[in-house]
Amino acid sequence: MRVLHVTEAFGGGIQSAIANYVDGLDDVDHSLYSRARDAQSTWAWPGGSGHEVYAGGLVGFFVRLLAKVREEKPDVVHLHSSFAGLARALLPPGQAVVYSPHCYAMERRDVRVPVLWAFALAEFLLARRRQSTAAVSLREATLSWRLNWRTPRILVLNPAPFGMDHAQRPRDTGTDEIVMVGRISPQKDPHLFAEVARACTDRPWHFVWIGDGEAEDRADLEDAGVEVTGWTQPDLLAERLADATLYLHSGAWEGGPVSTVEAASLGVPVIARDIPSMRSLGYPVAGDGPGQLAAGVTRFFTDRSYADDVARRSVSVASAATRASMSASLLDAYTSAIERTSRGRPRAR
Amino acid sequence: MTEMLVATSGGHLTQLHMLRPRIASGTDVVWVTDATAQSTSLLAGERVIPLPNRPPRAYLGVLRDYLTLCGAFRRERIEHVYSTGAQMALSAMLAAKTFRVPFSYIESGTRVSELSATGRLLDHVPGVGRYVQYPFAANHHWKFALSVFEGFSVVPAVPGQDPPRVIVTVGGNAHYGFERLIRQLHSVIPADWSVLWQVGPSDVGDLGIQTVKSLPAARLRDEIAAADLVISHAGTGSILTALSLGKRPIVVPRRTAHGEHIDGHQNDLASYVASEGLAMVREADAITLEDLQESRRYRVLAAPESVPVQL
Repeated sequence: MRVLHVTEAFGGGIQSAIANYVDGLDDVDHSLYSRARDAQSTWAWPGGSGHEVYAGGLVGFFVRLLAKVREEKPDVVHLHSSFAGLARALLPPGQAVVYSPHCYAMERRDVRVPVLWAFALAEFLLARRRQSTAAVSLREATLSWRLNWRTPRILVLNPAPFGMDHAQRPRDTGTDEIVMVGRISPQKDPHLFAEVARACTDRPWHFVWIGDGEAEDRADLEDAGVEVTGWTQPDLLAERLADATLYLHSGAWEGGPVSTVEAASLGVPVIARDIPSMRSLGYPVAGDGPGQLAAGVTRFFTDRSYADDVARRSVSVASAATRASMSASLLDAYTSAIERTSRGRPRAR
Repeated sequence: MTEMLVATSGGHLTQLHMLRPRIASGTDVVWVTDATAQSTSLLAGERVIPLPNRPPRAYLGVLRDYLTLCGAFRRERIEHVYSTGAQMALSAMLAAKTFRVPFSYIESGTRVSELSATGRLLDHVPGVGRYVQYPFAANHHWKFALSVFEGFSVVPAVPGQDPPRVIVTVGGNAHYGFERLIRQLHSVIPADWSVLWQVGPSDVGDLGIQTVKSLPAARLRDEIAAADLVISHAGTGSILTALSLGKRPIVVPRRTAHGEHIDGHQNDLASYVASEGLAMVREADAITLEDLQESRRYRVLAAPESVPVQL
């Protein structure tokens, strides 16, 4: 089977997800077509697979995509995120398509309601063509169902990158660290994280943000006493995560974040902001505002049974997100997409 | 005052029976279901109005059942109607509407990220109480109030010394086999372990093991209750049966890519129970002996009291 991955924004979590998919289905012939995105590179594209980077504008990006599909005739075109998802309106009806929203645009909380309605309308119209959805959370699968109940939805959880044996790693630090990983951007809501840190200034806890981004928000974090590390190499990130006492996820909207499952698989308990996707993934949630999240953090450090429950639930989330499950689900998604078209069975490699 | 509980036999009835203490705590209850070995055994001693189990989209039959239920509404004072589906819920909803009785529909726990055909129809009917069993699936039309998966907790257990008794069940009424699971388990389960293989239509005659296609529900419950370990496909009924009998099952989702199912229902449910810690979830060809040993170290406790909810 030949799969062409397409993304307009190759970086961050989408890059990690695509790398996982390529690693997880090694008997599938993967190739990648993308536009570059600066300063967010995390994991490298696995060697040995074709990767074409388009350097021009959006129109040219899609024109080249159509030509590439005609030339290479992939069994499946796997579109990653909203912009690449627009190609569903352009690709020929007989082309098998898998769409990974990696968080639907209408989940955003930083735009006005009319804009959200416009996003929802666009997704609704694009959901009319035959396709399969690869959802990274049950929340995302539910939204896909609401857009078109006839579209097959396959839950493809982002896998835990570390074995659960890492969870036994002894902590190196004497100070309790509360960490968050991600780009400093409205989606991750650094302001909320800073407010929680401010609410806990009289506590002996050290708040850490691993990542970088918008300067004004970074300054707000630092003003609240949060250590901002900037971007780090994956192995250093894992070490810093493993040394944390608690992972506090302040994201305002999410598909299925990789950083939280990374933390959980390292044995770091996770408390998340109460948003639908995090709840659907099974993470312990502690409210939507700074006061509620600060209370959740405080309870974690003062109530042993609550801390044990948070730790147990975090381990359960990581246990559910196995690489074997991701691979099997992804194969289901490709199979269902091919069956939804008139192109018949995939070619043998 | 009488409360009417409506569910087609099988998983729908199992779920409504489990939810009954929370939604209809009164003793005056009348059940509406089809007559099968399961419903007869589960509802022994209860008042039951039998309806036929009709095929999907049997709309004339829905109207006939509506007329039957109208007779019941005339005979006694029904206060509230609850249903977990399937199509039988439509007849009950029409009768409840006719007699101006509140009707609450609880979507099946099998539907983790979507609605059933009955749910889709009821989505457009005004004045119906609509409930999903997963909080993340709620919206302005569908509320979350309760779930069949609530009230279970997993606690450590000490495995026995003797070779364990294992129940392997892939659903007695399944239309598809699950040969990958049976073959993998056959290769990893030690020879001195005692295994009940309930394999449905799986073609595993070449393995030289004694199998049974399907077991009566009561017999399967007895076997699971006495077992040390339960390994099951990711069917709602199988998982709930194991949990309610104190077992933390190993759950294995069927896969469409292998022709074991037609959609991703089982994957959704498997993911949910795994993230809740209620089961160990594995892919069929990835189960190891260590997984089996690990799973024996846990058991499931059910909450001693049910918390009533007002629907």
